[in-house]
Amino acid sequence: MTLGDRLLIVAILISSAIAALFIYLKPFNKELINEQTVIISCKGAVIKKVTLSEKRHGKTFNVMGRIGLVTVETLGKQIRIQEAPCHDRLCIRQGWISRPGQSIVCMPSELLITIEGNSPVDAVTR
Amino acid sequence: MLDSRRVVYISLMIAMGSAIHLIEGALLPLPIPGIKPGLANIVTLLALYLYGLKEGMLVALMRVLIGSFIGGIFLSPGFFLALSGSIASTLIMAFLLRQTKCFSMVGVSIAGAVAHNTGQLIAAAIILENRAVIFYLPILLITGIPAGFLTGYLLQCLLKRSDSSTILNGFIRR
Repeated sequence: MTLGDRLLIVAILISSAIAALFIYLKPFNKELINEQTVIISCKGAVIKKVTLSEKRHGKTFNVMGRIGLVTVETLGKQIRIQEAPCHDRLCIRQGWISRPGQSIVCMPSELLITIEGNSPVDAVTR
Repeated sequence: MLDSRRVVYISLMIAMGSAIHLIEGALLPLPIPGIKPGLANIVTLLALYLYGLKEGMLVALMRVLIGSFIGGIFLSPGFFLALSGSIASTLIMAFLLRQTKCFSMVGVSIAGAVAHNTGQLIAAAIILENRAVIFYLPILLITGIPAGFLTGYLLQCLLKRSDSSTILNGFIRR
């Protein structure tokens, strides 16, 4: 063990401590874990990706479905279809989704909204 | 120049590296996922020490390749992690061995282990397309120190004993 070795070990320890401070304590990382990606696809093709996090304020946006514009609303970590041109409006009645693995489907629009990630449970019956 | 003696020794090192790599992976239980002593790094470091960057890189890459063939992880995410880690650590160790004078084998090995972990982590972030793996960085930096210390110390013992061992004499006295 030379002096250089010892200095190197100390330098690595210090840098890992600094890295730990930055990574574990910085508030932005809370958001990093809690972020969820929502994939909106039409006819199987991804048309939009949205990131959901608790800090984000609600907003609405339009996506083009097969039979017209569909209005999607996000609020915190939730997402729903607010307005759609379909007759049965089943997609709107599916309401808010927020957990990974959940999805909203609008068949007439051929639109699929999925929250990315694995569901913590295999399935949910309602 | 294609020195056949050299070719044989490099092949031997690759074979030893692959064997150590596999035995280590199969026999040693891992206390924390993704963390192991990286004993196969001894062989890479030996090749770097005896020959140079080109040969060390060759030994490291072939070890990863053969190890992945035997272990059945060729072209899987784990293979790319091992590959990027090996490349990073070999480059760093070659630089420290050749360009600086203030580090012993232990220091070079520690730097190599830390570089290996960092390289793996960067590859993991790219493969998983997820920045959250950076949470592992401080853990991997710290665990690189004992792992590197162990391999570096073992190599130092090996080099010390090389005078009295005929097989190692072949390695050391080119």
